[in-house]
Amino acid sequence: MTLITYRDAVRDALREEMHRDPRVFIMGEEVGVWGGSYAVTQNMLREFGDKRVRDTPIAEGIIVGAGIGAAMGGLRPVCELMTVNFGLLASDMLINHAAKLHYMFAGQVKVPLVVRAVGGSGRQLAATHSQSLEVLFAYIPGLKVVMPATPYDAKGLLKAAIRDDDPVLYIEHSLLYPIKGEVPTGDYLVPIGASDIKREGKDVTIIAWSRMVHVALQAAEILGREGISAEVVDLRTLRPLDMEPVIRSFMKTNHAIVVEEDWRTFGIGAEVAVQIYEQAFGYLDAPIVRCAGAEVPMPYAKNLEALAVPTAGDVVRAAKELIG
Amino acid sequence: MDLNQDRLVSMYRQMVLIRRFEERAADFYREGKIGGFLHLYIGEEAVGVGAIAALEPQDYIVTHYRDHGHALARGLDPKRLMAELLGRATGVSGGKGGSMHLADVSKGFWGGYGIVGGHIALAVGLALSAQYLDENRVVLCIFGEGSTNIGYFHEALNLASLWKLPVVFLCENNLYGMGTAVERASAVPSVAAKACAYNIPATRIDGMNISTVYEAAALAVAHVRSGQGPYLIEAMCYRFPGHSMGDPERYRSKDEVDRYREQDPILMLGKQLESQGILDEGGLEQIDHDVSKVIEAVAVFADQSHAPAPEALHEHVYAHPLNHREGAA
Amino acid sequence: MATKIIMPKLGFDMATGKIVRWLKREGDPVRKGEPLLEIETDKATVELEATADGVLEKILVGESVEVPVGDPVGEIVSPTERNTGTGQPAGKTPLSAATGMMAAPVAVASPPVTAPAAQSRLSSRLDASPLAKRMAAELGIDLQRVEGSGPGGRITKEDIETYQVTMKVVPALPMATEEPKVAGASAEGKPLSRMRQTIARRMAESKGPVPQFYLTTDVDMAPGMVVVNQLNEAGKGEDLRVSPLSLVMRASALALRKYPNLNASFGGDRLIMHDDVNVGVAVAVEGGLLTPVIAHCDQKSVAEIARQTRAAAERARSGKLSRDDLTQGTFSVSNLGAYDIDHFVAIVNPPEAAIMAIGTAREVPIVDGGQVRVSLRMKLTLSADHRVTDGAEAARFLQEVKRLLQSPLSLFL
Repeated sequence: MTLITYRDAVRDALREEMHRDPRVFIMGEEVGVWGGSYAVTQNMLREFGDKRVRDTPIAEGIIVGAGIGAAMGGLRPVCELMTVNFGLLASDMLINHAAKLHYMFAGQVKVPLVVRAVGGSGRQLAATHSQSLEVLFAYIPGLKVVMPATPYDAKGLLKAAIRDDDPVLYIEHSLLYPIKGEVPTGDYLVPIGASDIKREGKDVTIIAWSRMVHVALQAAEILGREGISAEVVDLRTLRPLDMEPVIRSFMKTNHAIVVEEDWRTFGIGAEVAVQIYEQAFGYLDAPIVRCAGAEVPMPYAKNLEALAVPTAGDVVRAAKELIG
Repeated sequence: MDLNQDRLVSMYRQMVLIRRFEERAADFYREGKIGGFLHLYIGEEAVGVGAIAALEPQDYIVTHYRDHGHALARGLDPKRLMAELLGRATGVSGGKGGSMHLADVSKGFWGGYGIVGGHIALAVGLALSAQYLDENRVVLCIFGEGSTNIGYFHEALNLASLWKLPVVFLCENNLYGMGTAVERASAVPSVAAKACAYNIPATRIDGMNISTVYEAAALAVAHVRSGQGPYLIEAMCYRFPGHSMGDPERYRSKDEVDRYREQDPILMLGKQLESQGILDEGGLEQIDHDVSKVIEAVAVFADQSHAPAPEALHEHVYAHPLNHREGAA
Repeated sequence: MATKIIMPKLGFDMATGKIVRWLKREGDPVRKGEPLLEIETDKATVELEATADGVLEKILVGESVEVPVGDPVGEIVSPTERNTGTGQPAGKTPLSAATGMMAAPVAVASPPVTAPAAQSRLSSRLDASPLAKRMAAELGIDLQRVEGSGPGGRITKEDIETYQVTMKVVPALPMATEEPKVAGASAEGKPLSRMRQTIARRMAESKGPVPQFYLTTDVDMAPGMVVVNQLNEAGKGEDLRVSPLSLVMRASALALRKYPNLNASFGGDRLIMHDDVNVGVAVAVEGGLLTPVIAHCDQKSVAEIARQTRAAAERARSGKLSRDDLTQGTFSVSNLGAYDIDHFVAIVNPPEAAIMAIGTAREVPIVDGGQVRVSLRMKLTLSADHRVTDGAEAARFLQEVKRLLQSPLSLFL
């Protein structure tokens, strides 16, 4: 095991997969000369050359469109969209094309494409650059959506995504890049579609993904000191959504809080909650609680931005109210 | 690049096949056996047949939703194409795609696409794979003039030109994007002129003349295959029926349609074959007769095929059935 | 607007009611306040009054049928609606349109003793978490008996667990898994009345899970009887009938004030202390036993207690007890003084913590200062929940009751 940052974990996954499989290549905005707008692909142009590390014009439609076509043609492209907000310009490609071709052509076409994008807030980038849009894509059958929270998961999931035969949207969180975690030295995969217990507990199940996993863990720590034992489930993959660990945990704790950076209304938490209702109704001892982003376009001002995103304090308060 | 006599006869036969196929499809539509939209290729046969004739077997085709003619020209099984139109399990796309989404990847036919312009981006990606893998493939990307006002067209031409990708852009300019005349939709009505903006060589040709189409396509394919980057052909053509079944056709006069019908590409190639002494009237009639027999069998096959099994509903959403707990930590 | 007639909840543990008979037929005009039907609950038979003028449009549930509380049993439609046909078809009445009024329960053939305010069905719905409901169903716990500690009184898992510990619930006893075969017994057996069923269930719940202990003392009732006789003499005009029972109730109530632990209920991890001192009196009635409650006995005079006890007993015997008569007891007394019983042990009436059994006051020889003399003695036996109290405390309580009875003027302070 080595202690590396989330950023390094993503880069290592890319590098290892590119060394393993010559069909894997990177294309996107500023991935080459610049080294990635979040420095993920630093030095990779030098290592792999411009055939495999391809700077593109700022044109998300064609970045993803060409990625889909290249994947159809037998390559394993990793397209970088800089941020998920720009992914909206490629949403037709992801939703109307990547997600549909395998089905519409009855299995004749495969789209082993990975689209990497940065999501979430926290860097004072204001309304159009701070969104958590995962729900838009997780809604679509045919797409897979993963959002790792730790360096271990970031590396294992990206490698799994690159080897997957379906289109995968891989959303990173810019605030996670500097966090460090233990990662095995050898090759390993984290399966897509497998939620993970990040902390065990018995009184309340806190469900989160991406950066909110860390908020949940922090809250669990505080709650633990106050005698409330919280279990933290990291969804890791939003589609296909693995509810099994959530349900199992919930059957034990009978209380659930979903912590989500996205907006509450129609958010992922709503889906998680209703699946708990559907699958574990008889285990509910209290309504399911959502700690979610404020329903506003993200403001620029630092204090306002902080108010718009759930904090460990919010989760602690919610848990105390829930457990009573 | 002359076409030999056999090639011309074969192309004539393909055009007749397309014409009769489309007519039978229209009948099925009227009988209520084809649902959704049905876009007929009648009148534009020379473009598809002529251009596709210039491709090699390893080359790829990506096209728009008026795709029956291209599929037939590429040699896809007409029975399975008609079955797809009828939504049957024997269809090329298993009955899940329908008229707009015909595909047979084994023949390099990567599909018809229903989102106007979207497939132009995919074609560029396929060309990228061909270039990356050094496969000596050319991608023929067919689209209508109506899609050249969409961002994808411009993004795709830009990237293809920038990266010198092996793609032939073939615009079927039938003068109307649905019911909107090209002059009413494009500030630059010449699609060939738009290619200049991306430093892509382009030519505008008479798409009703199959020899012209074939020759232009052959030049374009050669250019692209040589690694010099993309090429664009704007083939001027005309569709005789409406945009799709049930088009009220308020945007054009019957006279206009009649005038273009005089240039019917099948009629013109027939005359050429006769005047060059390749086929006499009896020979042309024989082809028509043979094709009609084929279409009869096609219709029977399609009509008698079964609808997809209910289990097909959940098949092919993902490449592998989701078994996502497998190997979970 | 159709008015639904809904099976009302007439007791804290009433889950169903049985329709004895309809007093009106479909199509009969009814006036607000007029008796519509009779229902039998665990406790009594009561009449339900119409809550609206109109016509009894529909009888949804026939006679002898048991209906869950809150379920509609019939429908009243105003005459205008009936004529114009604007009434909603039965079953399609939107909840918001229907008034969902319960028929007001009244004791048979008497002015309304208690007419509970009309309640909507929703507000009377028991609030319990789905988990609590499932656990209760699995454990055979009647949720009506469980106190909710969640928001708005919602019953949660914890409450069920508490209750379970309190009551050591065994899955509700099916009445008899194997019918005992007795020579000469009729084949069908005699079905238990609802009251018998309730008594059987509750007594079993008590003797089974409630660890009880018993203390007996002997009270000199000579001074008490003097007071009783004087009071009855003074109240002759109004036919006042004070008895040793009245004194014991008053004495118990005052003693409970002093020993509040006996005026409590076991709550699993805590004692639930009751603010009021409400004493239930076991009354033998045809086919069983009822325990009407005299509220605030610590604040009532002996005469008042006597008056209320007598009235309640009469109501019990005529099946006219109201909901208020039967709920909120915190302590009980059982008096077999009239049956020539020296001494007996009563069974604690859960969730109360104790019950006092009163035997017959009789003249017996006692040894007093080396002399044998005749004394009027009465035996009191206290049964108490050992989870709530212990022998010493219970003994002190009993001593206090005895002291009060033996210096009866203190009952009038």
